[in-house]
Amino acid sequence: MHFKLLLLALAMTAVALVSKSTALPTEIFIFAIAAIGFNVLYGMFGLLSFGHSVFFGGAAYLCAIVATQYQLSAPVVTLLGGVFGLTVATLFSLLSIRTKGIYFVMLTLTLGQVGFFLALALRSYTGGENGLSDVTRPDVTIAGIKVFDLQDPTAYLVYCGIVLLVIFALVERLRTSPLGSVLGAIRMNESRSGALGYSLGGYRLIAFGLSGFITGIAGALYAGFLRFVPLNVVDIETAEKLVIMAIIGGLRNATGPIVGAAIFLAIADVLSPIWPRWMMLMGVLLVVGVISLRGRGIVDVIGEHLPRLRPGARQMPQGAVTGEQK
Amino acid sequence: MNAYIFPVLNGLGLGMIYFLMAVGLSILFGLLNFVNFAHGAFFLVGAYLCYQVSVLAGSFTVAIILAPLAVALLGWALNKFLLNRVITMSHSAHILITFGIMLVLNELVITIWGPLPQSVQTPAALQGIVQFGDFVYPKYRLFVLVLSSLIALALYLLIVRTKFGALLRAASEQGETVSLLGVNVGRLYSIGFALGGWMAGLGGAMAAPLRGVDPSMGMEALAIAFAVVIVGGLGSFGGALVGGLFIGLVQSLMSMLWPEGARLMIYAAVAVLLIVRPNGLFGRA
Repeated sequence: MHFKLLLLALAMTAVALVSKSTALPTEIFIFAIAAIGFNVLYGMFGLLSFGHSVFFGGAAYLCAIVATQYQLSAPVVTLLGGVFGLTVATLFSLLSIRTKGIYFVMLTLTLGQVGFFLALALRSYTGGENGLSDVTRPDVTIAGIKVFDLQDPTAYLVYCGIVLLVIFALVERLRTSPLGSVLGAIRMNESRSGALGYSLGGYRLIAFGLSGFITGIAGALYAGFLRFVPLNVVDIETAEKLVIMAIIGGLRNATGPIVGAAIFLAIADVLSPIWPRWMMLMGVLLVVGVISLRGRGIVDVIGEHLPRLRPGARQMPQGAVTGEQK
Repeated sequence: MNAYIFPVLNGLGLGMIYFLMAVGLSILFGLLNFVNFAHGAFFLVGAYLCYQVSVLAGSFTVAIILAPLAVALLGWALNKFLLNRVITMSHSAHILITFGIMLVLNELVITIWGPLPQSVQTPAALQGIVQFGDFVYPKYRLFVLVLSSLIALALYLLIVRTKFGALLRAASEQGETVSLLGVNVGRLYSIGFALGGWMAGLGGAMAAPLRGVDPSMGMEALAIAFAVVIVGGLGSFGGALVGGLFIGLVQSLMSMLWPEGARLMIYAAVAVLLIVRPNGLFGRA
């Protein structure tokens, strides 16, 4: 656990040092957080959601408005995004409590559309198609005194990196905890877990809430990063991105989504100037990945070939894509 | 009163296009237990092909015949070469694979035709209006309403009255048993894909002159089709019809009352409905 955290910190530093600008690594860290959030619900609990754009985008809008209007400390704003995500996710969870399987996926997509068109209809707050501009990026302050200035891009990069490390530690700790085992058990066999007396609705609420919380935090960071909130943060395409990142990287642990986010955004950064239709490659990767690797991501494949580097790792149960019930 | 006839007729026309879109999705789910995220892309490709053919051939009639056939071929080929190999995988795998296909088709459309919207000329014979007493209605919208109703009727008869329809229904109840009785189920599935593609393509082709073509219409159509099958329930012909008309009417009437919120109201209505009836109005689990 400590070893993994250290390794991640080193890898993040390396990524930050290698890239020419600070924008790319900052974006990677932020989307890595969001993809970890998505994966808490999918990889850990087995619910595929196309509605995470609402947590991400909604938190971005809310934090942009609040941070611009009031002088708040950056961690407070970040947590506010998390609380927003938690609240909306709880609502989603309650709305979807009776649906499962394909109906659940369709309902999340529908709720995602509700969020998008709500943002469009509330244009006096969100700016509609034009987006929300002139957003203030908050600094870290204690009782109004500035402790840590975040206006510099490098400082903001470090701040986002620290948040990512905290989230990573939290989720990895959760995964190996009794709660994490129960979430995994429900993913693998819902009816048996229910028969054993675990409250399916209660655990769904927990998984959803945590997932929304983490994704909301990422949304809050994103608003501060861009100093602008475009309408597409709340569009389905944001939810799609998170799905692709998690699948490409791997669903079994929190490392997968981070690697997935890095690969996705690095490919986007390299290819988008020379081939604007690079998303086609992502589509092909998704199809080939799911078929040939049966839902295992890059991290899983590497992990299987390097068993000796992971002394504590035993053969893990099947991934979420293949292991769940039909 | 006349103020309401117009949006209601519009809503019915729109609803029938949504029905064409959704019924293929629904049939495939009933038949194969397969969820096709690429269905929106079928609609998109149908609309663009209609645009292209009507520009090249100069005839909308040719376009509306050829474009859906090409999409049917696309659906058939996708099943033949890719999807029938992954049918045994889980629902999430189906979703992710067809979602990937949707991305590829979407980007392909943008590569070929560019990201900007294009308008499609309404055919000369269908321009203008028809007059019933003091009520006037655009000819093209009437054409959409009539043609899609005829196709819905034909599809209904195909499913309920023909041997092929009986096989389709039987295979959707008990695929293995039907296969044991000596029916080539694989071919049935291929035909199902082609039929679904044809209808989605036709929906796209008919919608093209109404709203023009643009690359985002595929995802939009997919979300609407989901809304339709959520309302009606997956795997049900009647459900898709009722769902399509419901969504079309909500959209059309709300566009009159609260234009900015029309889309919002569709999805909000659907979300409420799904909470009350998790499997849709006519759905099965």
